[in-house]
Amino acid sequence: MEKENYQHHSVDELAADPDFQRWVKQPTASDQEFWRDVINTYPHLQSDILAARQLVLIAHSNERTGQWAEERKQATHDRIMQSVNQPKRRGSYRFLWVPAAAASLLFMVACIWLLWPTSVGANQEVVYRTDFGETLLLTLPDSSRVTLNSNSELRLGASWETGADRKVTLSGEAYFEIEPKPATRAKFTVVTKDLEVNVLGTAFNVFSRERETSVTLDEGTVELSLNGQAEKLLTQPGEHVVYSARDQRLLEDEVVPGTQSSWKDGVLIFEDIPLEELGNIIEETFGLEAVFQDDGIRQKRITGTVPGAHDLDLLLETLEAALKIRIIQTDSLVRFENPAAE
Amino acid sequence: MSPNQRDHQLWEDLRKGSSPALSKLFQTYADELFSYGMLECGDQSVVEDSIQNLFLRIWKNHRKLRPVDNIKAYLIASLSNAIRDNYRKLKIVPSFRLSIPEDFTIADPWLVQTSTEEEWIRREQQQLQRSLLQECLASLPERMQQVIYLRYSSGLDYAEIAEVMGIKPQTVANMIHRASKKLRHFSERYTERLLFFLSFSLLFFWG
Repeated sequence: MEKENYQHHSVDELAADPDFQRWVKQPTASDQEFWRDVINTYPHLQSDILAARQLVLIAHSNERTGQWAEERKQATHDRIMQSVNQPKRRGSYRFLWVPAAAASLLFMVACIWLLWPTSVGANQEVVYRTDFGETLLLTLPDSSRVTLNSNSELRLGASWETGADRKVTLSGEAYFEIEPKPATRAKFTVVTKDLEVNVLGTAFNVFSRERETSVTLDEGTVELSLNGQAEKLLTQPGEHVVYSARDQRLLEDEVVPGTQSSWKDGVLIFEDIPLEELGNIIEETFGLEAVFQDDGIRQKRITGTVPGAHDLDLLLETLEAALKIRIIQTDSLVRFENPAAE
Repeated sequence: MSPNQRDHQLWEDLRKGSSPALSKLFQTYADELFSYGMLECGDQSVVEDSIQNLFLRIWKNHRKLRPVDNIKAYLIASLSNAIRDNYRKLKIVPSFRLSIPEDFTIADPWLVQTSTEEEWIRREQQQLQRSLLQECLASLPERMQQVIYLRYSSGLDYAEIAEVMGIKPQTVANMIHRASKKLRHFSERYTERLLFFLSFSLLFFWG
């Protein structure tokens, strides 16, 4: 292409141009000459050209990130072709196999039923489960987004057709961003052991573990129906409800929106909470027991933002430095000690 | 035959049930699909598994396949879906992150002589370009990096990228616009120094 043709190119057009890409990747002497000339003739293009170079370099330098070893590629190819070229069985032939196949199918179903109850149930229920220290980003069939925190489980009900009400069951903690369905006004319901959250398109955090269930609204509106109690409507961002059906304990207050769900961005935000509470979080998120040397340290208050919501080492390191305490970690527990204790 | 015509011929043969066409399709795109898959997930066995399933599914449905405009875009989008399905089963948090490999050398944009006196110019140039590149990459969010890879490495257009990432073409256009603006901003800080070397090397060259 002539240099005149480039003078009105955008950064994107430059970067997508094959001649430009060749200059960036593997220039010939005449490419070097040509683009030096372009830059000298059209100084206003200087930073556009540099920016376009970066786009091409970013893409190009990553092209060889995963190079497929020839023999593994060949093996995959052969597996595909082997399966493709298998001769099809004729009907009469297959018929002979029916009793044996039925028996083994029955056996397989039994195995799946016994060994794998969490992922394929008879009613097509799907279950997502996270381990300690692990989080999971999910897109539900209705394109709502869920971030599932560590040591948590989310069950999806069977019916996800358009227009049908959507239902999930949570134990643990998750952040929901619900896709509104204004046309059908299809409800979205989160069921926990203590309460149900009914939604029409909104974002909120649900925490439901042994001790209690708490719901924090970030935007939109949700309706709670507490097990064994009345209904409750949350409309203000930051509204926070804690409920335990077992203890018949209900607490309503207000928090800064986003603080309760900060775990999904990898940080924990604390506003004047005792270390004891952090101990609960460590037990629930990482599966380690929290032990305190004495009541003084148990009641020590924390305020601030701490990294390491899913990285225990980082979390403890930060706490140790910030609170000037000693933290000892073993395979099964985390012990909080006063610095003086030697 | 142009690559485009070749692809369309392959696709037509495949729809008629030719297994050699499937094999050819695999040979043609295996490397590119694998590289892309590794960027999206980083686990070789997941990527291999997803590629295998992708081709088996194409074969299983070959009678129902519709003509496609850009076969590469179709394959990348299907692979991306297959990987996301695997994520759900394996509970891996997806992330798409690019990096500049240690051993990646940026080709000299201008003619610089290689005699020993000017070797430092070459080194300095390389150093400058590398820091600019690092700064640029660090400023881009993951989704933008993915768009950039699909556009300037895989060579897809806005609509095709939108298909792969499950977003609107307008969103892709906006992301590219924002990325360009960002990179231009960073580049501006380097322009003078990079072009200083340009004239400098010229002096040496002609002088």
